[in-house]
Amino acid sequence: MDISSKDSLNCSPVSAELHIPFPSAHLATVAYNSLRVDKEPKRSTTTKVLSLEANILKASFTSGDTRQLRTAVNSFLDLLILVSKAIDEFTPPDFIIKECPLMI
Amino acid sequence: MGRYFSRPCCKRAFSDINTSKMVVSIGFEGSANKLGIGIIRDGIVLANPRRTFITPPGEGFKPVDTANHHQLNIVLLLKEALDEAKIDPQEIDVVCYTKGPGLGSPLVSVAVFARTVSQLWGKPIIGVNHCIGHIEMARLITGAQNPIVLYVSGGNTQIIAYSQKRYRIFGETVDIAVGNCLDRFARLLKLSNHPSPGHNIEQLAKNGKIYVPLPYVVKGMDMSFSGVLTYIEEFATTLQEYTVEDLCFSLQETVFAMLVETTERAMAHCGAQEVLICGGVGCNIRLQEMMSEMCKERGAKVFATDERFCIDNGAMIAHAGAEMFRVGVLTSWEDTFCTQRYRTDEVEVKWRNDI
Repeated sequence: MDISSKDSLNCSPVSAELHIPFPSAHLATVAYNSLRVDKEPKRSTTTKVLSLEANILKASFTSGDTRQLRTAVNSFLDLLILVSKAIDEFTPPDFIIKECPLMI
Repeated sequence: MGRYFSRPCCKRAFSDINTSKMVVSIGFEGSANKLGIGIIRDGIVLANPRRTFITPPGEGFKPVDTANHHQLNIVLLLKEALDEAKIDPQEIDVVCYTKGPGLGSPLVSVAVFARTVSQLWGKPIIGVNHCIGHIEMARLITGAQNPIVLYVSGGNTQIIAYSQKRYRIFGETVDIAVGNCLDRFARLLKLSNHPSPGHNIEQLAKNGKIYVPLPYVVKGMDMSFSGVLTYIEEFATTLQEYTVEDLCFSLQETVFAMLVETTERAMAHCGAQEVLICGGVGCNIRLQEMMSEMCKERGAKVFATDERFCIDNGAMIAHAGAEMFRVGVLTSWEDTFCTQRYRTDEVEVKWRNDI
């Protein structure tokens, strides 16, 4: 895939920012913890930064290449959907996220 | 949702769990095209359902499609496992998942799911080496004491001997795994991938009559399988005079003889009297037969499991994880990442007390 200087889509970094609200800060933290561990693949020029603001999970992506940005965002959204399904099906009724013993 | 949670979550630190309590562990496996979830209580398999991503003849499974398959099936598969085991998630003591080796995006899909349920249920999480999962499950099922292990699958081909808290890699493939060779051979011949390419090669080989000499490459303790594939690709036209059955038969006889030779060499080095075959290719009855013939000559025994445990499954991850949990080996949250390359000898086998 050639990225020539004449390619108007790729002359400076492109970015995308996602804000995903969850029903509670606890559940947003679950998603944040599940999704923040894996690094982007080595060959990718995309960087991903996750953060939490109350019940909102924020994900910001920056890339030197638009196609790679699309791939990174799509993969992230697929995993986010998976996390949401797990939360929908397997959250105990009285769920409160645990303290640090898990995060050793 | 209500039926899975009959009691509120209770916080239970690791130190509270005394060693006489039966450990219940759940294992999530998805490093290749098999997605498996297993639940084990104190060495007994309570559930071990599995789903396989099967591609059309002539096609292999690509990482992105495989990851997709796992993401689509994992929720239902977990419900199936919990129902079959008849347990409440609160009874689970530890969540185990495959850290590696394997394909990147499928591994990550399963890991993300495991991290999520580990938090929702409030249970510790353990990353398990896939190869060690195979070895420990095979040891549990067969009762083999201290065998030379032949671990053969689509992704791995290693001859392993346990010594001083490590599974030492005695010999291995220098290029592709023997299962990968079989799978790609099946692709060349456009054999069906259902239930697996290796299974179909084994069935066709039973009717093979003529042995076609194929490249046989053993280098000391190591083996090479890519030459066989290149040979078949290059000589496809001259090989057309042979039937598919003859080619399957010849391929099996050749690559399995290579495995038997190197296994025997390892046995001679270690003075071992037991061989344990594990991994998907270990299902193959012809391989088991050839290994038995060699062992009979040496007065040694062969151990193998059936396709429930030879083929990638969740219970093997649950069992290896339970062993790690039992001796206090946990995985810190930052270490719950996945890695495509994860050597069998990287893991300290703290749960074995023998030398």
